[in-house]
Amino acid sequence: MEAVKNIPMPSELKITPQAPVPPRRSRARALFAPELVGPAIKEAFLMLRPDVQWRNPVMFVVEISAVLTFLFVIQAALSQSASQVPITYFIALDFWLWLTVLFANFATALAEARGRAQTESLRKTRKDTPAYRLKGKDIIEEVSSADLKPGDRVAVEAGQIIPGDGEIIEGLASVDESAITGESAPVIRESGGDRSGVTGGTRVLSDRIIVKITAATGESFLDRMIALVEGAVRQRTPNEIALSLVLTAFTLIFLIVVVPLWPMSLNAEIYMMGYLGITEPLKSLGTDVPTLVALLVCLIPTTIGALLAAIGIAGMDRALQANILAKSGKAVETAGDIDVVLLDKTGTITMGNRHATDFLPVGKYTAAQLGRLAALASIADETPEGKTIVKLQFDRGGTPADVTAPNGAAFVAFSAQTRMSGIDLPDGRQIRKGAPEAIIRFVERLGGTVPAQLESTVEAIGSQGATPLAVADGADIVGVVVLSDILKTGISERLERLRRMGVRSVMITGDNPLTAATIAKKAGVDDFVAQCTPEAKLAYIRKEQADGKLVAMIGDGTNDAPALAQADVGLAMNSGTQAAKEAGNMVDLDSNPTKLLEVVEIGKQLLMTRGALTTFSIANDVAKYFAIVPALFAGTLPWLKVMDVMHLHSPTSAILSAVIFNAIVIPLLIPVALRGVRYRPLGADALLRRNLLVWGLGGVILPFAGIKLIDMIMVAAHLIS
Amino acid sequence: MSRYFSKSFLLFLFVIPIICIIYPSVLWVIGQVFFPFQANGSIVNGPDGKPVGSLLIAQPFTKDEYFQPRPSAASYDASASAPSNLSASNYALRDRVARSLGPIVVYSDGPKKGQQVAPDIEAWFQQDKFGGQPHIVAQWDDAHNELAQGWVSADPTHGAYVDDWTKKHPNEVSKWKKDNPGTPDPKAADLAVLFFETFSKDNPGKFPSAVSHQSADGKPVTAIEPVNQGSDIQSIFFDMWRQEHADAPLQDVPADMVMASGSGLDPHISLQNAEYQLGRISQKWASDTKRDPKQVRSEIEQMVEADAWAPFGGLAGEKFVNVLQLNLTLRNKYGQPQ
Amino acid sequence: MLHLWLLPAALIVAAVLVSIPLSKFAVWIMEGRYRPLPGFGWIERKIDSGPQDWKQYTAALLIFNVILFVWGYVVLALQPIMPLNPRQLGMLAPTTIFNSVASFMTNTNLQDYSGDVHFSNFSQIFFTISNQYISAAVGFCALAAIIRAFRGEKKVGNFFIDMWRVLIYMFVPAAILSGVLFIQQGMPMTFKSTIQVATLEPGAMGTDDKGVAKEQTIVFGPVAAMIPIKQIGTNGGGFFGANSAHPYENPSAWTNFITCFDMMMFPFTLVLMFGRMLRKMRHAIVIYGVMLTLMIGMIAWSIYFELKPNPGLTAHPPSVTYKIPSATAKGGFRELTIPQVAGLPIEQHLGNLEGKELRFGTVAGPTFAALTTAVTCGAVNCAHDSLNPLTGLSPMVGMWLNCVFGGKGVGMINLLLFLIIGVFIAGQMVGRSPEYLGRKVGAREVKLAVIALLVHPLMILGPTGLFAATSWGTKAEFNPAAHGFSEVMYQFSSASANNGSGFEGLGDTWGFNANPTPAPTSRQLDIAAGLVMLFSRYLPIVAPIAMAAFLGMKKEAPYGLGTMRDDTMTFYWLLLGTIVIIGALLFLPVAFLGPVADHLGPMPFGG
Repeated sequence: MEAVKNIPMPSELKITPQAPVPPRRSRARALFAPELVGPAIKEAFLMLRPDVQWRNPVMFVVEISAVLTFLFVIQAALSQSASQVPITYFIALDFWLWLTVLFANFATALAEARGRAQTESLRKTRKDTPAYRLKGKDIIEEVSSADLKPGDRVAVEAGQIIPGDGEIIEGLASVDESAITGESAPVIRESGGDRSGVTGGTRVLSDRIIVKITAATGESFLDRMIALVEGAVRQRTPNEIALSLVLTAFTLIFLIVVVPLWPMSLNAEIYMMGYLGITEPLKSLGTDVPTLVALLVCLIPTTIGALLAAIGIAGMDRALQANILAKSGKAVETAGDIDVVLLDKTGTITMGNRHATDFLPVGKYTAAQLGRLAALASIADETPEGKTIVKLQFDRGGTPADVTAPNGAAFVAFSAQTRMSGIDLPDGRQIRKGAPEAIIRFVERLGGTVPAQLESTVEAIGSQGATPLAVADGADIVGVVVLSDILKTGISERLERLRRMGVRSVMITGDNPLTAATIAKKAGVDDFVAQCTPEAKLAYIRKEQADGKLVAMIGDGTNDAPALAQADVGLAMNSGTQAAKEAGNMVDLDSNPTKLLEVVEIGKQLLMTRGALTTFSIANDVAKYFAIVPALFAGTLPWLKVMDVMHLHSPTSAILSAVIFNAIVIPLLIPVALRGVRYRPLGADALLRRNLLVWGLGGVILPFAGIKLIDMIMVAAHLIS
Repeated sequence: MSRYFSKSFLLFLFVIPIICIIYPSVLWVIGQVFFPFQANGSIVNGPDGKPVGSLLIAQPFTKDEYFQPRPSAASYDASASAPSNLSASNYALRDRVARSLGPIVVYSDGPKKGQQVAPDIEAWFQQDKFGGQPHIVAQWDDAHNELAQGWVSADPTHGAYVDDWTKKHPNEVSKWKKDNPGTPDPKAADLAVLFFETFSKDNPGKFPSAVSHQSADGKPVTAIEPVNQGSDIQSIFFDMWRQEHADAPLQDVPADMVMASGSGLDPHISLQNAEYQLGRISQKWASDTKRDPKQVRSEIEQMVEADAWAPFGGLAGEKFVNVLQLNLTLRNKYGQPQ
Repeated sequence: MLHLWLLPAALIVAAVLVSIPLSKFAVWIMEGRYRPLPGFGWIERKIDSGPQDWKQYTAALLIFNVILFVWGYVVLALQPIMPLNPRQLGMLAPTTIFNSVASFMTNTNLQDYSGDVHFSNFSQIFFTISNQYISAAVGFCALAAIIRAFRGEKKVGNFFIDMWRVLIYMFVPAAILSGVLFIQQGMPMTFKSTIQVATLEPGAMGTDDKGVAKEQTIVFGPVAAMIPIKQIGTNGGGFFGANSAHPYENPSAWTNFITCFDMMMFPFTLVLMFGRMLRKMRHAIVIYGVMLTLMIGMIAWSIYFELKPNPGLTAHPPSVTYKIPSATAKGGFRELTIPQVAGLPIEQHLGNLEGKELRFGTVAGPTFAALTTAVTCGAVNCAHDSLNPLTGLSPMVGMWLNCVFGGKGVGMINLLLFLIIGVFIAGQMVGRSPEYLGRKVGAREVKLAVIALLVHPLMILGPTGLFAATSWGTKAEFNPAAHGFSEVMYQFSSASANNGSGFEGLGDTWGFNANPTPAPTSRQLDIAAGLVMLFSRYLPIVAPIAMAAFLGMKKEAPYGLGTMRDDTMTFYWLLLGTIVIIGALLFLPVAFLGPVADHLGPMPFGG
């Protein structure tokens, strides 16, 4: 028999963090943070190297165009031949073409810099810390964390930093993981079970734990994840590849449109010479190569071409900001396609454990009596349920005396045979709590009677999805404690949000179907799997996938690993076991199971941003045609001026305005590319309508205003004759 | 692969007889048995019982007694149908239309209401001034090089006339050769522009045109001579006259009278067009048959009314008449035109 | 004037109404649920080579077309020694034969010859009619294969059986029915070749050297056998040079109506067949709606502008002066004054009548022009070259888009290309990897769609540029300036769209091999257009079949709230927008240089 311990109430659990690690909330840094912009500008110039540009066919074409125009500038400067346009026009054209390339490079460089900054700040947590390695039984030696090898056991006391990734093999502690997660509330980590994993760099706030190191320094899981993230930034995802193909196709299409314009303009020049009755060749902008090059650059989808890489990097970056390490960009992208999410009931939909919510006495007993007895029976019960019984009694006006075991009392621990726990009081009373069947058996063995009321009470509780816990005082049944699942705050709203995105949520639980159904209904999930085993989970995922659906799931346990691997998006909790983290394709540093929603949103946002900017880029071309084509033929077919609906100042200013608009729109859209188009949980149809209006129709209209504005500014500033 | 070749051949073997022999034969039998008139080309016979043409194919009529069909870009050649293909921007279209208008247009208002403009065109032409500058023909030649060339190649006699001129003007020709080194041996058409330029200066107020004379032996002889009146002047210079008389009130001519059809074989003219021609036709028949013009007119009017027809009860368009049908009726009723 | 819109409205209503049951019938036939006619079952067993996957199907299709090419070339080359040739017509120029064979096997029917002048009845039957049947069925079969591939079937049917079904159970009955109606209305159906008539007014045709009045030679033949399949198969190659403007080829307003209806019938039907076979009727109806919208727009556009008088004959006040920038002229500008023009006294209330026949009714010309190019038929019932400048834009747009119902099968296939691009870009906008028919559209599908899509502008703009800048094109232009440019551009648009209509002023006819004075650059035009037709036919058939097959192999995901729906108004706007914007981006410059410049420029243009 153990000595009675004084267990601190949960509400009393006080933690005073020593030297708090500054939380990493600074991750959402300003878009154009000066420390990033400077290097990005430098990088933009370095990226002008053709072998770098080559990877982006659209911008490569722009670069070639800029070089070509430069050659024409030189030629124009050297030759004295009369041209209808001044050389300054060519110089201005070339300047803006180069600027277009630089803007594109800058967008990519900035996104990369932000991504690097993100991983850098993660790495900062990897500095050396002293470690106290256990040698043999009790000898402790101080070593550097860098010297730790997998398998080493280290002791970490309150206030110390955990020197490496590992598993708690002994003890329980509250740990401040804000260094990784940015979440300042401490978390409990304990040996055994699914919450035994700790990460190097986090700080123990209370208690003392023994940690078995699982990864050598620099090879820790986080290290490898960061390396993966950095690699993923450079990889192109399937959708991105397909989109680049489309953009290349559009580039080719406009090459096909623009190149024949030269002979076609020549045709017009020839017949106009006949019409005017002159023999000297007409020279219109239609046969002016730099101008045609400018037209080509304006038409090819430079806007999206310039921002495509940045959008992809920013997507990963946003995942990082949400404290999710995605092992590949593809995983983030796939997240957007998810049709079904599997959510563990416990911890995701409901608070981790059941709470005692009511005392329902039977027979002659009162609720107060039941409460006191139930609390008494739970004093030594360290299960969360037990603790909430004590807490409930406290909340209901119980005194500390109620929950203090009298001297000489003996605790009866839960055993699988009896399925009860309780306390034997010095006066010989046996207080037991347990499943109603077990208690009934206990009471009947002692010769007591079961009150008729009990059955109905138990049934009523069961039908509400709660769990009954019967309490007996010797041969008398005192009543039933209601243990209910408490829904996490805001979970219904989040699930509703998922539903509006078109994602079906499925609750996974070990509960019986009745309980599961009730919770499912309360929380608002679309489906549930009750009495679920890991195998059932895997089977469920396979079944959904066979229907063509993409499935996401969250897991933390080793037995979740197969399902995590099978799922299209497997989000492993950082607190989970190594096996789970290896199996999934994302790790949530916050170990927050509802994070899956954010992942889905980030994935959708990534795709939406690409789609929106592509649409915008292509829709822009309509206005550019109306600016440039009349300008091209001002020298041959002046009557086409009617098509110049913007009434631009002159042919050269029209072309320059279009080129400038085309260039300027890139930096202006960098914020959209980096932050992503705002995602709203609407149905696909509503979303499409919205985005088509904003980016499609807007993309058609905006450049008319923009080009006109640039033209007016140039005229006002006397930049154009 | 070779299997696909053999199957392809087999498919050909089965399909070709069906679609190239059986299918046309079925239609041929149906056509010849049930609709022999249509199936054989809608051919109608003339007063002498011999086929005079197809009701569906336009044929030319030049005599004033007959309704005249729409202009034909195919010259009514029913073995080579063709539209003019002239675009609105092509001056050749305007020129062609203007030429057919000149001799027929009348004033619609003013003191000369109802009178033809043709005499006025001639009088204006004889003054030889256009746009304040002398020499109408030279200006015409300068503005429309291709028309000048077209005139030269239109008829062998025109070419001969220019060749004749060439021999008389060696100086101009040698100068032209110097200016056009690419054409050392110019043909008549090449020299057309030059020809009209000098012609205009040598013959102010005149244009070369075919004139018939009675020769010594009594036979009619046609030769090109400078003239200051006649159909050439009325037609060729109507458009220029019009430019100087833009405000002259002229009666509009039904469009189908001067605009060519798509096949060159359109057998119909609009009712409006038929009515426009009615006056000329009834007058002519009245004088031919020496009957009361009014009565003839009303007879023909009735004929036209009876023949006029609009598809889909007029929902798709306006009434039109079949030219051959009408003329055949006229011929049957009034006999041979004089 | 409102009643004038009844004809196009009635046509569209009729085509829509018939396409509904006809699409059911087409599905019944293509799915093989019918019982073969007596004796035909044996033939089907003979030609059946078993179920084919997409590669085998495509191979069979291409091999069959190779044989079709040889067949056509042989028939035409042997014209002088074949029967049914009382006029003893000689052999056509080899390049013309190449052009014509390519033209007819690709369902283009661009004619660089003139049927009444150059073809014997033997050639008309065994070359023209056979090609018009067969080439039309090829596109139909390709669509059937694509649909089956979309359904996820590995075996996409048997090409030979499909051909047989389309030809025998659909085209032949429809053609016989139309043929009988046509004969009743006056279309000749005889195996004779010509008839001579002495005109009512002797000598009106002119006189020969001896002063004898010339007779009128009227060419006819088995016209009523050819015209039905010419229209039903959206072929468009006419028996006569003037095509459907010829009174024998289109004798009345009724035949004009049926002619129009015939060419619309199958293109309309196939969209619904697509929906029925995929069990995606609502999706098909949205596509149908997009096509109808574009078609109505094009018809309305052309009627609106064609009811205006011919601008070459009207007044143009007042004079306008343009300043053209010039480095050599004084002050940096050269002045160009367009003189004022006085109108000719013509009553043009029926619109521009140049090149139109009276018997079809007032708006039949522009309606036909818009229809024939939309459904890639290419028959014409008026002279497109003489259409008002902006009216001419409507048929051009029809050919540029090439998917407003389009030819049998290929129109629908072309639309799928726009659709895939639209779905790919917009699909991302709903935050999901783009999918079509529940299947993810990946890089490979996009690549194939894009290749097929690129062919069309490349084949139009490339040769147009080449010919416009060189004497190959300028020497062939019949009309001046921008309109002459339009002629060249129209020619290649028509060739690439496998349409076949033309701005026929373009001098592209060599004629008989023995012709001493062929059009100067007809050889270049023959070969260039022939190659364009071949490229633009087979690549856009093969690539989409492959695309459909790859897409069909993918797992099909069910529709959900998060999936972009393909049967809503939103999708309608998306598809319409994609087609209009991509079409505009590709062809706005040439539209400016051709019809728009023609319309805005001086009228008439020079002398």
